[in-house]
Amino acid sequence: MAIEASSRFREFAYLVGSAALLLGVWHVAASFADPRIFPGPASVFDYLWELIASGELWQDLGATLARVAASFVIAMLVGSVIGVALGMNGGLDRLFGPWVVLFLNLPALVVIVLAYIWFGLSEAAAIGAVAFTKIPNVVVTLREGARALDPSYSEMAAMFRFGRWKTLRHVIAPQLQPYVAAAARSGVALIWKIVLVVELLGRSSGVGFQIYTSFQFFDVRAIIAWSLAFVAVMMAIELLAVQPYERSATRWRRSNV
Amino acid sequence: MSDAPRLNVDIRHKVFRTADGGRLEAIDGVKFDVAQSEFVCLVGPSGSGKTTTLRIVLGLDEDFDGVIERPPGRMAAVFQEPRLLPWRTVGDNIDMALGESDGADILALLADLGLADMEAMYPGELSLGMARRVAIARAFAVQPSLLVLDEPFVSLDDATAVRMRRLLIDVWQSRPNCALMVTHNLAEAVELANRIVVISDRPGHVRGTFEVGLPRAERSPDAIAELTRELQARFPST
Repeated sequence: MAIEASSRFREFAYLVGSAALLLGVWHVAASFADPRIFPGPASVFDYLWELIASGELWQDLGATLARVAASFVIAMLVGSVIGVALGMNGGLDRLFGPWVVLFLNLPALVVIVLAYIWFGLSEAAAIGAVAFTKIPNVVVTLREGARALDPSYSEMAAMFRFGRWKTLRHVIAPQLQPYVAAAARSGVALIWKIVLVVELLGRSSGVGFQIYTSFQFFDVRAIIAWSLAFVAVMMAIELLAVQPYERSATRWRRSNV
Repeated sequence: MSDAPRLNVDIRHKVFRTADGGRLEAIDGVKFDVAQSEFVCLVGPSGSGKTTTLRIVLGLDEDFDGVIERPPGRMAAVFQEPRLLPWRTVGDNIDMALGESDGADILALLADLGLADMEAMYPGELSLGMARRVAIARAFAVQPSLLVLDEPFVSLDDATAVRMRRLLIDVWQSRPNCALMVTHNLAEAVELANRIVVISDRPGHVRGTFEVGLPRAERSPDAIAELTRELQARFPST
């Protein structure tokens, strides 16, 4: 217990040290540059504080996070269903596998532009376009998961009359869990970047919109401040939601002592 | 005799298609029955279709020519690998097989199998012998009318295997049903079975049956060795 606590403290100390080092390097580098082109940390944090105090930050950050959440949920649901279907049915996979490759290689920008042209500059088009760019990744990952399902467990479940729901919940889902986690992890990383692009191209709220506005005024300080705020939120989600979930879902693995 | 619930197995043919399009004849006439409260062992060389027969009996393979009549009620199996869900505890693994209605006395069953206080453990924390005992507990928990065992004691050390065979037969004798077990270990078959069905080399067919008349209580190591020699003499190269 004591060893674990001290190693956790050391890890935390390294994290703080690493952040302090980055700020120091940034500060020194900025002192040689034009503050309009490359502002230092003090100036950026001043601006960030203004954004927080005025309430502007929460509004746009909230709009962006809502879009990230909506596209993420849609992409995970649709992608998982398609991926598992393809993984379990070879004929379906041969027929639609090439589509997956095609959509996997379709640039996100093309999807976004076409979605705005076909469906208008609407919220649904924006969220749909982001989800669409992520779906092929989820499909590929979950297809792999479905192929790796162990038939001996399914036979056992059939033998003991588990029924459809119990088999899905206790036999299939736990086997797919690592694949869902992998898809979710890479999903969040991809989606939040693409959400900024749809906001830049066709929304009048959100972090992407704010960065676009700052770009038009060549306001580097604002661009960095918005990015920092956004990265901080995404890291908090990773630390507070994704990692604890993974730890609890893989509890049974670590019991192998 | 014809009215009592029993397992009737009549597999006329079973053919596997190989990856290169060929035909592999696995079974050519396997016919036997298992009465209520009878323990039958299926012995034969590897590749003789023993496990295939079990899979057909369990309904896991329906692509064969023949008829299987199962006693009414539930089936349960103990596979070679314990097939416990590693992400669920021992207790959950057994509860899940139970469903809602069955009411076997799980605690007594676990105690009989030396598994008391292990309900909260995960299968990864168990030795192979313990995991096999959990699989046996799960099978008996559903109070099956047909129990199928596929070499449940392979890759255990001798002492553990001896203990496990004794446990199995004790648990079975207090909860008898139609039991069918595959093994390639003749002494094991002689120790456990009422009747031994000997299967030939591939394509498998029944070479004959061997009644083990001796009551189980009188099957001493010497008696088992003697009966095994007798069995080998009647079915050479088994």
